[in-house]
Amino acid sequence: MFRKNNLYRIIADIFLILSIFLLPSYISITLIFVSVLIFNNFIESIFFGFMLDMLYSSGRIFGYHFAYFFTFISVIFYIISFKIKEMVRVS
Amino acid sequence: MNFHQRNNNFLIRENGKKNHIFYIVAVIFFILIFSLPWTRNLLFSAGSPLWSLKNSIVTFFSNNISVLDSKVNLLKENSILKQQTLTDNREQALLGLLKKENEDLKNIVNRSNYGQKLLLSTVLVKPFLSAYDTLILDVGSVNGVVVGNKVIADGNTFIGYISEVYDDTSKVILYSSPGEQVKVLIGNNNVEKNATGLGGGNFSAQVPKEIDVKEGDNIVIPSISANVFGIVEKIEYKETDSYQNVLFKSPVNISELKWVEVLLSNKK
Repeated sequence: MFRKNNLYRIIADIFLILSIFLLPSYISITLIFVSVLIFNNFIESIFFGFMLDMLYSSGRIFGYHFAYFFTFISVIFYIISFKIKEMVRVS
Repeated sequence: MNFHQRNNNFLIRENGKKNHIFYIVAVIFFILIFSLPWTRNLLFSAGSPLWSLKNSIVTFFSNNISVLDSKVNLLKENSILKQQTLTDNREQALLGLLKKENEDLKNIVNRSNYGQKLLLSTVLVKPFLSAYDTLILDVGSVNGVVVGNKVIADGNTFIGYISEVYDDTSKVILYSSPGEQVKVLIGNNNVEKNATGLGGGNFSAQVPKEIDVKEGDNIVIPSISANVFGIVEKIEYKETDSYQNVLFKSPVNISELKWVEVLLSNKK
């Protein structure tokens, strides 16, 4: 069971890396959010958000100087995923 | 008799904490590694063939999707396009004459268009794929591209500048990126003003109300060569304001860009 979970996680990681290169960034960030909810402690989501910024960032977002928008979003997703999972478990 | 049971939960919690710390350290390590220039270079080099493959697949499907359209629609479209081609051919002939005359006049006063080399490059990534208003091109430092080089589309429309250069790829920030400022000439008197990017090929510029500008006017960038930077779409103003807000759009459809030209610096 433990090995199967790890295998799914590795497949998800590979799929997310490919999505960062091949799919629009709003789809990639949505897939990252879904993966954070599905997998336990999916901290590599922060790295994937960082990859999106490294590849595509212009140093500005919505007119403000901020080069790490997707990294920031991924960190937020990661943190709130614990709360969401707790709420789902309680209900 | 009661036996004190070993509390395995306590052990799992301890291991869980160590795993958390390990994962956080691993992520920070990878982020630091990928902040280095040579690893970013590697990332772009790895992405280049994937982006090219994606573009080839998209081009294949978009070229062949028309076989699904009805015959009637295709005949109608064909007729419209033929008319359009005739009109364009006539205008092209006149444009060619004007262009030749312009170059001859510039040669007389010893100035040529741009005076710099143009490098044709393929657009690997467009803003549709990227959330930011950036392009990724398939040319880099091996082709002589440097940070700051201007990028042109459709032969004479400035669209952005090179912001990052890697071995065989480079990143372009579009002038229309939200917040980007660029100097333009507006109106019949060519008043120089700062235009601000609004995203998606759109710009806005505030000019005094006295400046004569109307919808459909061309906006140009200060340059020796003739260029059309934008076309005025709308002018907003209130009677009590002393300024008018000119909204204009780039004539280039960024989402359909396949090739652009990079204006390389002169080497002295």
